[in-house]
Amino acid sequence: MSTAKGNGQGRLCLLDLPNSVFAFLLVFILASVLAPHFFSPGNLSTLLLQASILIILSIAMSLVVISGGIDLSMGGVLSMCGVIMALCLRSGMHVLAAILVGVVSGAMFGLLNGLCVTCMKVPPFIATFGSMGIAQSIANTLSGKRTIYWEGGSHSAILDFLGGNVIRVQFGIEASTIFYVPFLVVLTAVVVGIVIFLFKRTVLGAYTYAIGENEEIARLCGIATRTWTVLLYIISGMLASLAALLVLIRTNSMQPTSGEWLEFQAVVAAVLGGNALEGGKGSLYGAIFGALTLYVVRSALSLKGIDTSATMVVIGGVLVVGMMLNELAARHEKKLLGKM
Amino acid sequence: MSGQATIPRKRLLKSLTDFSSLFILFGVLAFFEVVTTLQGNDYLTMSNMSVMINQACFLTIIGISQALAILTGGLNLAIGSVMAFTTVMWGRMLVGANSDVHYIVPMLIIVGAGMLIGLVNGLLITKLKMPPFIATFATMYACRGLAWLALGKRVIYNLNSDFRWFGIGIVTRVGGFTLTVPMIITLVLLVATAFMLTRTNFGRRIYFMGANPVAAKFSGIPTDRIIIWVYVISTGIAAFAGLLYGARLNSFEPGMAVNAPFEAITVALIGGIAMSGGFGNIWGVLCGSIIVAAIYNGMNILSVPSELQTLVMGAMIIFAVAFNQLLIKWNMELRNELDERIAPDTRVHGVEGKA
Repeated sequence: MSTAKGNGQGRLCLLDLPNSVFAFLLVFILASVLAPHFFSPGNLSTLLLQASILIILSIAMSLVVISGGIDLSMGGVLSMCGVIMALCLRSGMHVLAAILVGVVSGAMFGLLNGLCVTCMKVPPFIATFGSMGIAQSIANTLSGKRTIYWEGGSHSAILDFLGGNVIRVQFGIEASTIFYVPFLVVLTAVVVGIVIFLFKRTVLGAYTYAIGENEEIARLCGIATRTWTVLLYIISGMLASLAALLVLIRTNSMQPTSGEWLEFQAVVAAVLGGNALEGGKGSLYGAIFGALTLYVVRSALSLKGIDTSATMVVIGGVLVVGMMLNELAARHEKKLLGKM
Repeated sequence: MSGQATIPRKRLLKSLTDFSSLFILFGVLAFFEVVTTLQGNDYLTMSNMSVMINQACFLTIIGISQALAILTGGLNLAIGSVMAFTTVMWGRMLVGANSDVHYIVPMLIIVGAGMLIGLVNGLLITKLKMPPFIATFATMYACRGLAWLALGKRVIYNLNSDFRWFGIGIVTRVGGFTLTVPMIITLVLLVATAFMLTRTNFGRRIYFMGANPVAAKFSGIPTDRIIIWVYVISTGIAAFAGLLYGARLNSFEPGMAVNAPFEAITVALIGGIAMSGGFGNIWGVLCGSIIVAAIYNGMNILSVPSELQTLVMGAMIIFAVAFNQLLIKWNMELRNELDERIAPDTRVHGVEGKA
């Protein structure tokens, strides 16, 4: 990593924060001022709940992106795992077993991606793009292109529990004044926490950066680059299946198309968060704030009553502005480092 | 030297590896011919071939657009949205057009608008140093939104159809084979692009830059300007492809061609264009699109459900690219060996390097 982390220079402290924090703060303040009811407990809780799926995906995406790859199959894997879990639930399987089946199939798909990338030497973009089609096709075939429902019962009691709220504070009678923290957000926090812990406290993080910076050098340094790359894709597949679980709990059903375009949003969130697509640079926190930025923009525009088509244009613009901020910060950082 | 005797053989091998996608094409055609014959259906008839090639023409045009971007080491995800945006604008112009304005005028305006979007792409990539993936993703999102805004969620269809000749026109019928106007247009575009890439300074610089951007820059090639031009041309072609789609379908809707950039990537990569840039023959794109059209056509004849078709295409992309990758590596090795034995000038990038 080429950033100047932990060198004790006070003026670099601000830049240690992921760049997307600034973009996030900017849109957050703008949204709070401009959009009515944006800065209300109810809306912020909803925002967090909506963003949690993308947060998990963008964390997984950053892992792969930092290692110099990309995982476009995420959306397809999300649909596929969700459909598999929903079908297991419909057949009366216990919820934990169903989740296990889902996560294992996600991991299997990650393994497939990883093997394509490392052993068949297919560029990650193509390998995961191809497997996106495969996963989506499996989801459509298994579900018959229909939404899958299941009968609630003792076997799925945990799901109903997880669909509830941890805390619910009512400031008034209107929906916008109710602050709530759903279990799903807690679940997201736990998953994200585990991944960040593994990333910071084990060799995973250092190896990921090393592989992304220069795979050849990493290999010569004695890192089993192939194994670790495959492992990263497996983690990404597992996280996609966990995101599928969130969708499943939130909607209490599963559509075979729920993953569409999510992989691209995850890439956007990761890149907004300062992860360079060529690898070796970036952070997981950055991706979280990138995902939040996207959802703040979306929420504010819909509260303002702006057409969804215009929202697409604005999100395109936010992406450009966010990248400009990243570029500015990088130049500034280079200048500061040059002075030292 | 024993090597002298093997040079002709190596040359032959090298020229064989140049046509890697042809092997895939023959494999695919043979496979479907055998399977359909076993089922008692027709596949390789003249009329079906012309249907396939006609479909492939539309893929080829977006494939060329994508291939140009990929050759510089980039990517153009904005193709589909630009197509939608431009056709929607064209539809609006045609609806509101005065009778004394020829429909060629709005066409030119549209292609110009496409080039302007390409200019934005190029500027984002070169001046803001955004990765092409992200820059074109942003314009893709913005153009799709603009397309929806421009038409307000309606569909324009069933217009006066005298402008449609270049989308559905028929030149002549030879036996069962129908030669259509899109085929001619595609051929002209392919020849023009091939000429540009192989015979002009600009084209050689694209290859050089795609293969090694740093070396290109230090050899005094204005890389930024070339990238901007490539995206202008690429997006202009995409806008033209949008016009062809509009003319073919005679309907203009903002939601069209969502998957076009990905189809274009598929076609370009199966055609042997390397994702890393700087390697590939533009004629491979034609081959790639015929392969894709042949697979879809064959699967439809075998009545494979559409869900499974995506699976087959997904697997196909991975295997085709893995196969091409092997052949490219082999080709490079052979080329280097041959170059060392013959004149050093014939090296592909050597000319610019010394200039």
